Amino acid sequence: MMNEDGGDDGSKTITNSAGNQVNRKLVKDQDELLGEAERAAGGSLDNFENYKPDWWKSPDGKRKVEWNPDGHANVNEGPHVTVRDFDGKRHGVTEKIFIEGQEKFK
Amino acid sequence: MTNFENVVVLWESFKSLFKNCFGFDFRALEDIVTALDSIGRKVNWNRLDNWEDLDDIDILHQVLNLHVIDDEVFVITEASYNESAGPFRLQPHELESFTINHLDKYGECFFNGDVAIINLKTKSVWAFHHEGVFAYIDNI
Repeated sequence: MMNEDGGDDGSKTITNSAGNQVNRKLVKDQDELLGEAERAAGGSLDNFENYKPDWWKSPDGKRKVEWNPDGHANVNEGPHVTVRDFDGKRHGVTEKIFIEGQEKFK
Repeated sequence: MTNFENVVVLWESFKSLFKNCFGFDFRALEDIVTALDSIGRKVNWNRLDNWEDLDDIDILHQVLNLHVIDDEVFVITEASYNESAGPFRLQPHELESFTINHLDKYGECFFNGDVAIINLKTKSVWAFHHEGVFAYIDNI
């Protein structure tokens, strides 16, 4: 759900599917998308536990990383990485990254 | 008051029951979404804006407004993947209390990502997806 307002920093301000204006980072391909997931996991997803398909969590459980190379058909989202950090109740979205031009589900 | 220890079931047991009922494996809610998508089954997803700002009980009521739960269900929350927990087997009258007390017991909200509420007898699922949409899916 991209409201095209691209910047030169590889990010874009979009209207997300909840109707909010949010900033989303864009990368060029699947390799870079995986790189973002690894970065969020402190350098390697091996540092985190793959507790269910596409989802990893830190040893202390405070950070979760969704590395989803396919996307979600039900919300029309393309491949993405979502970084979530625990706020005491829920793991809220800290960062969300898409592949440029593949923001929507195929 | 729900006794939380008594409602936890082993993942192995639940997965076996699920496979026997639906014919495909369950690891996460996404498996149900993918299975339905693969057979072209249309699901009417309802959006819940800013769900992360809402109380668990309010989200639960929104989900249950789609269809009443009147039979035993298996519930999978994010906490189900913690070592000390697993899928939860609940009776209809236990669901609200369980939802309200989930934060105290497991240290995180009931709705902290995907939630699947599964009735094996009717092959139905109340699905809450972490991107803020929810659906009732019957006759899977």
